[in-house]
Amino acid sequence: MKALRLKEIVCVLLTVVFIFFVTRSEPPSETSVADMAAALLTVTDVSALHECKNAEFKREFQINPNDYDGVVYYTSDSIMEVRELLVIRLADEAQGEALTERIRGRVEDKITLFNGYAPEQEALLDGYVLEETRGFVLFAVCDEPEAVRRTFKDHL
Amino acid sequence: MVFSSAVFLFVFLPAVLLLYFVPVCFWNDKLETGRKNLVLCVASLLFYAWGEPVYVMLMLLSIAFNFNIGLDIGRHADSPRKKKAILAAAVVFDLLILGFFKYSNFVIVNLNHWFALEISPLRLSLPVGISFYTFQILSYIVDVYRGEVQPQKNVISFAMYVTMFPQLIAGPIVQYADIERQLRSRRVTPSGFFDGVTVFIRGLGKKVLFANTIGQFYTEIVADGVAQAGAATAWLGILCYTMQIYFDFGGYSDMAIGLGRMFGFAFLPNFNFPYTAVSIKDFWSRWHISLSGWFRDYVYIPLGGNRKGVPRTILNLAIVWCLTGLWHGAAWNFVAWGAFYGILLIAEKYLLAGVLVKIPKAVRHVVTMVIVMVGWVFFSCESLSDAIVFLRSMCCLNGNPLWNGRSLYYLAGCAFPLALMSLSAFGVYDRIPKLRNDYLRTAWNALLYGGIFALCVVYLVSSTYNPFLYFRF
Repeated sequence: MKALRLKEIVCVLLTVVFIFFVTRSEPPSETSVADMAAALLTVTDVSALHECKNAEFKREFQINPNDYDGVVYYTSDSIMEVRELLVIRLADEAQGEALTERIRGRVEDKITLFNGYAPEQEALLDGYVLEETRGFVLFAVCDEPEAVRRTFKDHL
Repeated sequence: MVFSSAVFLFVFLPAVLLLYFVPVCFWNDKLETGRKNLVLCVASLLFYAWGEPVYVMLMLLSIAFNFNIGLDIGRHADSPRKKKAILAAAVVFDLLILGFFKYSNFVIVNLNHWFALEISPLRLSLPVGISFYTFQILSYIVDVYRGEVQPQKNVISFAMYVTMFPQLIAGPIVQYADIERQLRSRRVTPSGFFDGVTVFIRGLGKKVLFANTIGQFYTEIVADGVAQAGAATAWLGILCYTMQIYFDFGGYSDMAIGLGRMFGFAFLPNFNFPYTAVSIKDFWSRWHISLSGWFRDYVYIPLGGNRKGVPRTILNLAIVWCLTGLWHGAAWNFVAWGAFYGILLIAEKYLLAGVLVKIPKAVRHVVTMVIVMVGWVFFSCESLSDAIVFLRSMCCLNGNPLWNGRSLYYLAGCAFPLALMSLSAFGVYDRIPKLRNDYLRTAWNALLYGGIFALCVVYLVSSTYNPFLYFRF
C-alpha cells in the first residue's frame, strides 16, 4: 500500500465499500423447488393442468431444464387453456434476467394470439405473475395471482 | 445488451453511429477524435449498464484506479523498485477483484466439501465481461511497466479502451499496444466502414442462423438425458455443441471486429478456421487467438517460457493451461478441460513431435477434431461428474445401444445444418473465387449480406432461442 497515492487508495476503499453493499443483499433462498411448488399448489387450482416432464418444458420454453437447480411446471394440453404455473430454482442468479425476459416475451406473444377473440384468456394473461428473487423465478397465469405472489414471497 | 438483439440493431447502434459520425469539431482533428472517444465511451457505459446497472460502478472504479496506476508507473520510470511495487499492487488489486467475483463461491464450495464446513456461499452474480476487461487492463499496466507503451494521460481514452462496447463483454481481448495509436487518431473510410458492416453481418449470421439453430439440437439432446442416450446420439450432441460454440463465439468475435472497423479500429482476428487444425498446437493457434496470445505474453513468457529447460517448460505449460481452464469458469470441469489440453500439448511437444510429421494430414485432422470434441464435453457440462457421464455415453459404457431411433431422429434433423456449417467452418465459402468486376462484386455483396441480415432479423423476431455461450466467462 505504501507505493500507492491517495487517489488510488480512495479507489481501493470505494471498491471495498461497493463490494460490501453488493454482497449485503438477501442470500438465495434455502427452500427447495419441490417445497415451493407444494406451497403454491395450496393456493391455486391446478386440477385442469398436469405436471410436465423435462422434454415438455423444454419444448414449451426452448430452455434446457438441466441448466437450473430445479424446475416444476404445470400446464394444459388444451390450446384454449392459458393457466400455467412455473417455478424455477436458478443454479446461478445471473440466469434470472434472460429467463424472465424469455417468459415475458412468451406471454406477450400469447396475449397477441388471444387478443380480440378470447377476452377471458386475454384477461388471465394480462394478470400474469412473474417474480424473480432470491434464486427463484415464479411464473403463473391463474385466477389467484395475488395469493400466488404472496405465498411465493412467504416461502422464500 | 447483446449484438444479436433488436434493441441493439435498430436503436442502440444507429444512434451511436449517428452521434459518432456527425462532425461537431470538424475544424480540429484532435478535438474531433476526443469527441468521438467520448461518444464511444459514454455509449459503451450505457451498453454495459443496460444489463449490469450495478456493476458499471465496479468498472468505473477499476478504470479510475488503473488509470492512476498507469500514470504512477510512468512517473517512476527511473525507479525500478518503486515501479515494481506499484505494478504488484495493481496486479494484486485487479486479480483480487476478478477472483472475488468469479472464484469466491468456488472456493467456499470446495472448502465446505473438503473440511466439512458450512460457510454460506456469497450472493454474487458474475459481472459480465469482467474476465475480458481485467485482462485488457492488466495488459496495459504491464506494458506501461515494461516501457513498451506510454501511460495514457487522457482518462476518456483509457476508459474507452477498457469499456469499448464492441469487445467489452466477449472479447477479443485487445492488448493496449495494438490500439494505442488508434486511440489518438483513426480514420474511417467508406470502404473500411462497409467492410466492417459486412464482417458484422457475417458474424451476426454465424451467431443467429448457425449457432442458434444447431444449439437447439444440442439443448434437445441434453434435455432428453445423455445418460440414457446411445453413443451415436451422444456424439451427435457434442458435434452440435462443437459447431454451436464455434459459430457462437466466432460469430460474436466477427461482430466485434466488424463494429470496431466501422468505428475505425483494427482489432486482430480471434479465430482462423480452428476446425481445420491438424494438431492441438495448431488448433490453439487458431482458436481464441487473443486469449492464447495474452497468456503467452503475460504468463508463459514471464514464467520463463521454454528458456529454462524441459522440466520448467512442462511446469510452465501446466500452469498456463490450468489457468486457461480456470479463466473460462470457476468449476473443476474447466480446470480438467485446461489440464486436458496442457497434457496434450506437452505430449505433442515432447513425445509425439517426430511421429506426427509421418502421419497423413487428413488422419491428423480427424484425430485433432475427435480430441477437440472430447474437450468440449468437459466445457459444455455443468460439472466434472456430468462430463464423465457424457463421456461414458460416447464410449458405449452406459449399457445403451450404439444407435437407436432417437439417434436417427436427431440425425435427420441436424444433418443438413451440420453440413452447411461444416462448409463454413472448413473455410469452403471463403475459397469461392470473388467476382472480378467491382460493380458486380459490390452488387453481389449487397444482395448477399442484405439477405443474411434480413434472415437474421426474421429469425430474431420469430424465435425466443438466442443464448450466448461466452457471456458467462
